[in-house]
Amino acid sequence: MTSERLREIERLFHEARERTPAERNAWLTRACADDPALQREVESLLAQSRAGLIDGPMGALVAGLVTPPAPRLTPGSSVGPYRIERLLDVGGMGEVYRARDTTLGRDVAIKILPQQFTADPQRLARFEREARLLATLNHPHISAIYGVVDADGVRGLVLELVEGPTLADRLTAGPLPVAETLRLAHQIAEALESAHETGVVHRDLKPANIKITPQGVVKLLDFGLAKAFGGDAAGPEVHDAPTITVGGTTPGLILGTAAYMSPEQARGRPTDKRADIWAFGCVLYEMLTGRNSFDAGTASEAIARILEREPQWDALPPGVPDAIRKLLKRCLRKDPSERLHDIADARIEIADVIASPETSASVDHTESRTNRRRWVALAAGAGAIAAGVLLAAVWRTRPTPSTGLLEFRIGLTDNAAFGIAMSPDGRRLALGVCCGPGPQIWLHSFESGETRPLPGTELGGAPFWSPDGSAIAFFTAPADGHLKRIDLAGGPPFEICETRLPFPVGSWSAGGQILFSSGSSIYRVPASGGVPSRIDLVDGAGANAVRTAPVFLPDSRHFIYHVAGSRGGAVRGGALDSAETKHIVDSEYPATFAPPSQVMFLRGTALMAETLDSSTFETEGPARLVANDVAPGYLGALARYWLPSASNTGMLAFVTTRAGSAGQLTWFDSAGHVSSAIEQPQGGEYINPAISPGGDLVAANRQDPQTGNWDLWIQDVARQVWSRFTSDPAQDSDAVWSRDGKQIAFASNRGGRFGLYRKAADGSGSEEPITMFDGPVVDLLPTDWSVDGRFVLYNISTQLHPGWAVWKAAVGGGATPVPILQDAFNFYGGRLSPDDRWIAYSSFESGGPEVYVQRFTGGDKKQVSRGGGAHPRWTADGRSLVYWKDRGGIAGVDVETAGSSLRIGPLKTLIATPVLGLFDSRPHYDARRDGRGLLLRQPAGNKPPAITVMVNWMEKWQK
Amino acid sequence: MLLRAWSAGDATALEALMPLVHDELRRIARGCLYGERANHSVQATELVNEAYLRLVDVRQVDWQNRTHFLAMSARLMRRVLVDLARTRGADKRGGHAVRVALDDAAIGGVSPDADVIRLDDALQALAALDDRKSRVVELRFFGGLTVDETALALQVSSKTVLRDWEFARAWLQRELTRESGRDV
Repeated sequence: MTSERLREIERLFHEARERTPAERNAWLTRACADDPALQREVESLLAQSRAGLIDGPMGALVAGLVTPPAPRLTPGSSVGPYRIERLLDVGGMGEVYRARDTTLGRDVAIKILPQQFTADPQRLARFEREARLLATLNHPHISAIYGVVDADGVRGLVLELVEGPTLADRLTAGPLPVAETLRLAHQIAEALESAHETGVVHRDLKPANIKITPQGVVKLLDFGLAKAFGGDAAGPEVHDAPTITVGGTTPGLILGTAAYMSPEQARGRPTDKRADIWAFGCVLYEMLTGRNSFDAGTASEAIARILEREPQWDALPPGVPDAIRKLLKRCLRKDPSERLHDIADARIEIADVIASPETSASVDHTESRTNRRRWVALAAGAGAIAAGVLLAAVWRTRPTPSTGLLEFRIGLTDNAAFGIAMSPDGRRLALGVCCGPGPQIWLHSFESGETRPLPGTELGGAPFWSPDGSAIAFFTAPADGHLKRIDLAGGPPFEICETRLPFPVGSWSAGGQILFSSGSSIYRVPASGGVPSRIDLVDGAGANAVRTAPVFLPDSRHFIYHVAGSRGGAVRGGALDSAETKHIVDSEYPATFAPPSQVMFLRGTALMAETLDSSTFETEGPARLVANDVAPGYLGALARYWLPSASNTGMLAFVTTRAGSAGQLTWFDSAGHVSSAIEQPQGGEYINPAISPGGDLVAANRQDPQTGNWDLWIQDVARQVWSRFTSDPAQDSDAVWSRDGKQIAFASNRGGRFGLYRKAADGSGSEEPITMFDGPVVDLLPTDWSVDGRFVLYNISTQLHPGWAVWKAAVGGGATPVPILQDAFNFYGGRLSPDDRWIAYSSFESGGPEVYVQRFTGGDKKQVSRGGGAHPRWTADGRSLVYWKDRGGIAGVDVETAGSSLRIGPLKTLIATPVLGLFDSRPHYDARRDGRGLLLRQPAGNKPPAITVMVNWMEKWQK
Repeated sequence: MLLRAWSAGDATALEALMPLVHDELRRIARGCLYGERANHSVQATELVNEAYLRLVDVRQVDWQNRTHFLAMSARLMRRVLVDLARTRGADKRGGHAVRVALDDAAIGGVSPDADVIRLDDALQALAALDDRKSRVVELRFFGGLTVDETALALQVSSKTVLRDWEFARAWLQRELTRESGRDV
């Protein structure tokens, strides 16, 4: 069908509807006299009812979409040589089926890998590496991994099928007899010993993973799979904990029963075989007593008990031999270095007891308490888990003098908190949780371990406390648009003032004043309500600078704030009764104040603290490191407003992440297959890659993790060696190659001014400005260099024109830059055809990003992409365009130009795999001009952020 | 400021957002299933708007342009739903993109994943013939925009939006039922 035909159908459709049903048919027959197909078409449209899919509420559709899908495999179906018999189990790690291996004639269990794995090549590769290692485990008490299967669109692990109940099933009937316990424990110890000898740790040992065959033989299940699935080879992460799952969908969350977790796992510390020894102790204890000593109603309570409490030793039955009591205690020491070091020792001990059953069974009640810590460990209650926030933190039960630094990582799942605020007394943490039933403030109590939504704070985020801790102020989303306060003693929320600008941050003084930033200015309003007044601040950064994140100092008169102008960012100090301000420290991100007297700011991802005189704003250096890997934030624009928060009592909370590990540059060949990956630098990554015209070099932006400074680097593709291309202390970025490959243009803000520069690609010679900008530039990004070498194209965004516009600037002097595409819409990513006559670009004019092409000299544009596209690239012959496709992936179209006419061929999907940053103004891919390869930035695994709570943070700082 | 846009967090913002939106959709859906809420489409849309507001850098997009936001949200919502549907589809069918046969009763909720994918396909086909009509449906259905808001977003009159909507509605409805008829 053609567009013309559709218009004709539409015209008749509307005209027919204006007639009564009685006369409609006759009219239509007349109107379509010589075209019965047209008539049928219109009639079929008129016949449609008003009860179709799109007339219904979308919510109903959503409801249908998110109900759990049915099992993937049906009995009788085949996966490679395996015939599926029935579903055995559905867990967070996927479905487990009983199946028949038709080749070998044996029964097996097949664990189907969840979608998250099969969709992520890196994770899959890591998983398969782990699986290969685990498949080498060969022990009669370890359920074997036979191999992996990848057939008929299903990937899975083929496992030994073990019949019989699990130990957990057996324990539902109560404790086991001592003799049987010892016999089973001996087998478990043997299995662990064998695995530990080959360097494999189970990590998730618990009764549910211990099968007992009808012959009384122990088989350990899922050996090492916690790590294989949890998927992070690189050590200390929340993922290093057992993979207990909730809801059967989300692997890797520490939820549900946490009762077999070792203290180091509960703390998110790195674990080794001693975690297995702890779990072995738990299992042994449970076999003897019928219950787990640390089990509790919620994960948080369980974690609290694990960290704090000794097991109830007197619950052990009197028949337990003394040697076994001692063994148990050595297995369950909280400090791993004090714990039994080798499971072989347990095996020997148990064997000895079995061999001499007359060993005395005296009871030892004199457990030393000297090592006992005065910490209560608490974790989020069920409420927080429902909100997707898993929180575990510690709080000192008594405000005794400092007894040492304690640091605790909190797994913060996908529903990132929008703002964290420590109460002044350090007993509670207020969280802006984005996604309960809606955004809302949640309150976590370190004392009770409870986390609950605070009624009356619906739509709220960015919380901050009143100085006495009795109330919380917060901002509601623009839909509601207020700064509010709520008294924790009860009562409805009180509207302090209206504020509809995004990204607010506030601070509340003992004098009853509130300072807040909203949009890009700082305002002052009484906490009792009123009209906010904008604060004039003389800081030399100009009217167009962005001022955010005011934080009151203890005297209630002075405050610090952050200002970002074209010269970069700085933390400055101001006072309520004066417009004068004073520079405190340069910082790209806002700072916070930690009582009694420290200003805290970020250097790269390092959180630093320096003593601040709160009236003179003099700092007393040097700045010292408080913590590493601190995130300025998460979720883009929100980032800079996610400040660390400190109590008056030495508690500090901040968000940690692994900066820069989010993306991975991967080469794809012309057939769309992965050909290689580019190794990322330590603590950072290469972004916005630009392939040289010859295809032999790649230039990219790279941030120094220490200084936070961006520079350009160039890789020799064949040798895979990176070398630094620019080294200016200003921010250099976004390389564009000249067509002969001899020069590179880039953006920089050196000297406090944005500008475009060029430099010889071999690094020789000086860096010459192409053009400089004086106005309030928000962002600048060169995108192409003309074939004749005479000008470069760039995107620019200014305070006056906040969207993107495409301009050109002459290289080599003289002429002022000229706008090419600029109006109410965003235009960006301009690229010239190899004859310089056509420009391809992205625009938001249809609402979403789409790719268009038009004559460079102007004229009608032609839409290239449908349903989303950005960042076009021409091939060297000018006959194809490659672009970034909505929903992830790279598409290509053939382009035929003749004179001023342009024809666009059908869309071909080149790569269907997800790429990062669809809405980003910087491309995260590039295509070789010869069409023989693509370089894509892809998501590299799933690295959730986390909140770290430090108790007595000053101790670390003072060291 | 140049640098802020590049923080790794920004570049991955959408990917970070997707699971979040998925989670929230699950929650909304539970509410729907238990009849706890009315007017679901508006809530779902508000959610995406909110998420989007937090996602997009105020300096990169003219955020004061509300209709622009709503339009982006509609696109995001469509994408989320289609992704969700495709994932489920792939789960069920072992990764093969097989169109499942549907009987008439299945239209409208029994097999929502297939419905969403088909609607998306039909919308793409319509876009090739008449882009504006497909945008009208996207904005109104996925974005929950009113006729007037849609008109503003597309820079056309409300009357045009209504006409487009009436026609596109019938067209899509016919395409969806026709396809199932063919498959049965």
